[in-house]
Amino acid sequence: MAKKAGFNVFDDVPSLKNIDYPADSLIATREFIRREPLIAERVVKSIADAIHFYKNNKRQSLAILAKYLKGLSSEDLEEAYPRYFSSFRDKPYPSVQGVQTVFKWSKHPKAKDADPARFVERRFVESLDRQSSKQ
Amino acid sequence: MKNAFVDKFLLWRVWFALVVFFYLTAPLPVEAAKHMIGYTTISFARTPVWIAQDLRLYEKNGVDAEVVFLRGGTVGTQALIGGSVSFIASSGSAAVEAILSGADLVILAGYSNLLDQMLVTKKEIKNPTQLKGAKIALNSLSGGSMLAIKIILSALGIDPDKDVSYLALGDPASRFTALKSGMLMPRSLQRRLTRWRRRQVSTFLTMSRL
Repeated sequence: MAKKAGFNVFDDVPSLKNIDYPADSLIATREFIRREPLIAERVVKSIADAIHFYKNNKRQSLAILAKYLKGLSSEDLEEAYPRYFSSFRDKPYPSVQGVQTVFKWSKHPKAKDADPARFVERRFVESLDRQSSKQ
Repeated sequence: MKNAFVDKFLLWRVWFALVVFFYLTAPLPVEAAKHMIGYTTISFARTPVWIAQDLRLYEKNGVDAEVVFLRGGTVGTQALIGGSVSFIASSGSAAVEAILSGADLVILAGYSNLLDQMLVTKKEIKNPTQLKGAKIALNSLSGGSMLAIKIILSALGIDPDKDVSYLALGDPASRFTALKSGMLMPRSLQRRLTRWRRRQVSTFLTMSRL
């Protein structure tokens, strides 16, 4: 989109390739997931279902996106579709390495010694993973 | 008499079968409380949240939910801590900083874990060193977009804390408008260019993957 419009895009920086980063995450409070674990699991499942739909129903997915991304043309949406096809994960496990990346850049005094595994909760995606393996 | 009994028995069996069928095929019972799900940027990255809303996937999975826009990861994180939303779909960086500060948050899912944001400039800007003095438009001045641009600028040899300044301009369309208008260009270039030329050259923004 940007390149076609005549802009320059700095998108080929070798040191940024494959950097793990918690770009698109689903977040809740620990108190909430203790109180409503079933709701948390169902919302995580809804997100996973939506990703599955996106990857298998391009035309309908872009029609939904057009409602939310009003400034973009159908060509823009078409162009972006494959990038997100590969970016969206079928098994959306939270990334411990991504948390580590944030620590590296954080100026917070506790970042240096914090345990990144304590910042994520994998059990909801694990549960979905187990269910889909059985099917 | 016997036929009437058989018919009645058959009717009951059909009725029972229908009840069992509807019980087994009915959607999961929807919980009574409505759960708000905040999304913190208007970009392609929020696709799963919107598809789930439009296809009523939350409801089909037994959750009464509604999505709501909250600008930026920091605002979203505050809404989560304050209890006005049950979930946010956001970059995890603001949440990580909040957890470091003692907030009771946790990342449940990461549906994209790549740093694939882009730095976009007018085509005349080819060398990263020309970025010095630029204003960079972001979704917000905190959270994921801020951290992402700092990582990108450092990789390009620019000091993200000294060489540039930042503006919060919201969604990609607004940032493109600013880019086209020339309001983001470096002061060093502004001084040397005529007003007309300034409009033609202007500068930089980061955008959230569309």
